[in-house]
Amino acid sequence: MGKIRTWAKGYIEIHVWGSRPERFLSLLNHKQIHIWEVEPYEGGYRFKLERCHVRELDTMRKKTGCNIKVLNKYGLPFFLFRYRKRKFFVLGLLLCGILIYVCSLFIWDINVGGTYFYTDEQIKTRIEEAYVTVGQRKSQVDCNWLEEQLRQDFPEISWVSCDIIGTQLNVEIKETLEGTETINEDTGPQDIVAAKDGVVVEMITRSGTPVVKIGQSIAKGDILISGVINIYDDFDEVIETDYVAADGDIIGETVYQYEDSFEMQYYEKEYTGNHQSAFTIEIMNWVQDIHLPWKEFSNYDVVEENHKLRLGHTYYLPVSFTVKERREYTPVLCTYTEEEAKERAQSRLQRFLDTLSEKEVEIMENNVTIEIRDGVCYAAGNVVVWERIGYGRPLSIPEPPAPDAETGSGESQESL
Amino acid sequence: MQVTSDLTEGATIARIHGTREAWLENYQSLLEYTNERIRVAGKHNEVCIEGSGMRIEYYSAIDMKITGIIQKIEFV
Repeated sequence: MGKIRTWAKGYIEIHVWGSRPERFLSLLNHKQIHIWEVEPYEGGYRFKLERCHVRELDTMRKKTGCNIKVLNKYGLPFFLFRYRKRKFFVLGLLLCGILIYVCSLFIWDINVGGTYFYTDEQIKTRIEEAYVTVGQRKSQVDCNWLEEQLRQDFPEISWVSCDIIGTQLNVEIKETLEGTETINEDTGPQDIVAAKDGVVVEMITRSGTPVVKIGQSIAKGDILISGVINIYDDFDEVIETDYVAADGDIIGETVYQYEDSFEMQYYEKEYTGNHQSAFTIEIMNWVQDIHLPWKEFSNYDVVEENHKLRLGHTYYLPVSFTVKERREYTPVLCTYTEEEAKERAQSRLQRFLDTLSEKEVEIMENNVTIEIRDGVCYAAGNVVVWERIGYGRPLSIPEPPAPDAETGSGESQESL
Repeated sequence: MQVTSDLTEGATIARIHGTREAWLENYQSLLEYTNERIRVAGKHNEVCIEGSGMRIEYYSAIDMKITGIIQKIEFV
């Protein structure tokens, strides 16, 4: 802010030289004139000071016998003075300033980050369709409300943060992983149930009654830790039942089936070197294509690069241009060698395993085999993993017996 | 009540952050300024800062900020 104020007032760079330029600086200090960027320069010093102090320099120059020279002038007053005869230029600048200010009141870009299960485009489309459109006023956007709506629309989202920086709406999300639903302390009574079939290999119970044991096979939907805690008396009769939010970590051994295949013959693109470019300018909803008539290419790729105009990092403007390029190619029929095919199948399998690893899944066995028959490369088998398989499922509490029944039993006891 | 000497005697205050930045307060005048040495007069003594690439970032009636590679500070 201080820098902007100084720029608005105007400042100059001065060179002082002579017999005692230090005395000149001390006099400035004495007169309480603030100077900055002081440097030794050609037998004296150069420094910057505000424009309003320039008149006082002459008295000091006479007193110290130094020479002074203005090296540069900076700031708004000098800028306006320089362009005083170019009224339309200044008017244009002013209008530009106003336009930039008005544009800064709206959202011109939505940026989504942190997705894994969902895609950025999916979240962005939902936001634009239902909640915030590009071009909407920033003051109309309630980030807290938007966060709440996104959490409701996308159940896999465990945490979402929305904020507006410049003219950009930033949405940062974190997703829960399948079968690893976290359990809040605030939740009501619930069981921990199995998300998939498998065998229990590790189990830690923090609250609730464990129902399964290590080594036991379980099916999807089986209760692993029950939210029902029965308290027994000396005769093994239930005297009280508590309902709690079951909590614990259950690691299960599960099996993922993997199947993949691809043809040994494939088409490779051999680019002919012929290409044609086109430009598209987009200003808000107005779109204009600029290109010569398209050449007749029988096979071509289209490569599009979209550039949004912005000032700085976050001040997006409602203007964008797209460079579209058509590149002609000739399809050439090729065949994978056995080695290439196996390498390709292996890399696709590795991608699948990497995806599993990202879900905090530990891979224990990889029983996938790759074989080539009838011109097709097959990769099939299973992958044995250890993963968290418990998730919370709300518990339905049975209604307590009707008061009449209680009274009846009381009477019968009395009669006995 | 204890009052610090910069208030009672007008002692010069030198504040240094690492070897790259220094602030001086309660000085009277600048005696010498080169890229290697800055000498400032205080009320009772002189402060001499030596180093390389020395530069006065700003200089006002209250304080001055010095940047560069500071190697020595001497009170003369």
